[in-house]
Amino acid sequence: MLRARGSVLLIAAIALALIATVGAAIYYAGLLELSTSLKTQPILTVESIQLFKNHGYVFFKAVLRNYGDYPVQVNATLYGEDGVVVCTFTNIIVPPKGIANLSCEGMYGWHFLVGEKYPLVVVGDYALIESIPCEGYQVTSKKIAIISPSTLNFEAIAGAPHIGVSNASEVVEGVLEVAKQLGIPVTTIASLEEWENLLQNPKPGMIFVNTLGGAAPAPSWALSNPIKYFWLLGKLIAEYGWTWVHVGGFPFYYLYDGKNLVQLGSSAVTLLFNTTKINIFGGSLEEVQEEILDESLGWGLKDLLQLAKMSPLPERLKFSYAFVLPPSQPPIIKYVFYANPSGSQSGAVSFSLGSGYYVHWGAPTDFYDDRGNAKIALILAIFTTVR
Amino acid sequence: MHRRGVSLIMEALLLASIALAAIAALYAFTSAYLSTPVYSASITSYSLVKFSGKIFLVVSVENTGSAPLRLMCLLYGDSGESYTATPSPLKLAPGVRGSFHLVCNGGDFTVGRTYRLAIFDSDVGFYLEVRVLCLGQEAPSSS
Repeated sequence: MLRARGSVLLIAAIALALIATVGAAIYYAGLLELSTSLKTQPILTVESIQLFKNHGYVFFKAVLRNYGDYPVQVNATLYGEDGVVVCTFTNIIVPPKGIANLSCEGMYGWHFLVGEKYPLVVVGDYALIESIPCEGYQVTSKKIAIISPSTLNFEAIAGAPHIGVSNASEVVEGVLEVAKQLGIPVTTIASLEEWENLLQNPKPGMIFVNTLGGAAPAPSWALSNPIKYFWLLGKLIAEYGWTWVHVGGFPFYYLYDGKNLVQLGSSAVTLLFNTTKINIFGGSLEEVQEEILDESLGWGLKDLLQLAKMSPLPERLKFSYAFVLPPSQPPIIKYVFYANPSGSQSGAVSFSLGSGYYVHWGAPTDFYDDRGNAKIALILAIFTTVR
Repeated sequence: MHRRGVSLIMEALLLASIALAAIAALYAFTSAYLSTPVYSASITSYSLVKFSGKIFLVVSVENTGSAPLRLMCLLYGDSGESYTATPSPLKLAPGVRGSFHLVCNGGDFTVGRTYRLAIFDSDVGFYLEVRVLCLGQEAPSSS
């Protein structure tokens, strides 16, 4: 009897133990699932990063590390100046406790400035922004600004006398070519509103290439008040360190607001310099003399031209538009690149105006086309600002 | 000998039944509790940086609830204007992580100031707001 009672108790104990075990197992499984979902986020970090610029060329490399227990899938974007997307990396899977490499390289130098920082934006299962300092070599830390000729309807004025540019789009292409080769950022001004905004809120140190040649882009109010407009342009150059690059034609022969072309004449540039000690002539090859490249400047320009993959400057050129150089200061001449034998005239000259420059390229149209003229004019401007 | 009460077998079966009933009741209760949808998300990381006149925002989120969410993310600038981060909406199943990002002109943001960042699912009434500090560098001054 006692043996039977003992057996029953044993069975009951085993049954209870089994029930308890099964119950505990079920709860354990539930708790495990809960704890798994509450586990620490996979922490994604940028372990190492490098953005190196060698003039026009850029090398970028980054290593992402996943400290989590799960794979992390992300997309990454490297942004340059003005928020331009330079490199994108899609569907990058960083394994658990592992790394993923990102790299890109190419002629992206014109989207970066050495010494500035740029963002690598990572989004996906995890998101982060890494700030990358750009290191390396560059010709200048200045930026180029151009005004879009298509939004200003350049076609409507292309045939006007003394514009000196027949295809402004070619001027833009020339500027972009040099900018890409040398690694200089370019800001394109897409409307006269933007131009007006830039005039009122100037960013210092811009190199402005006037793609319209002898016509200067101007807000509508400037057409009836050119004196005030020239005062504003002079302020941009003198106080904000702008460099105005002239690529052909009589400088400031016209003001153009995209609809109306107002002729100021061949001596309008004197309004910019605020002096009558200069003069400019041209328009026909008979009016200008053949000019000779300054030997030392030609030598100094060689490296810059080589870097831009351009041929050396010819020793002699006959410019379409040349400055009659002032016998005394002001204005202050920075460089006379080409001059006639007596040194009285120059089709390629840069003037200092306060902290900025006016760079004149008299467009020898029998030797260079619009693109070539723009390229040389820009090279001379860069040379002027960096030396 | 006269025996009283239930037999030992019956005693054991009774105990087992009580234990099973208790477990079943507890299970039913917890299941019912856990199956009620919980709408919850947490921001696991965020970053608001100004570079070259542009604003860059990234926000990592996780659905910490028990129901799917369709989240929107808004960043409010100095003017009070809201900027919508993408994707919009961000669909997240329970336990799943994702992120928002935004790139826009930085005129409405100042480095060193904090800005309202709201994440919400208006369909289910979920709303979460934090303040984020704008880091980075301002464009060169024009003055």
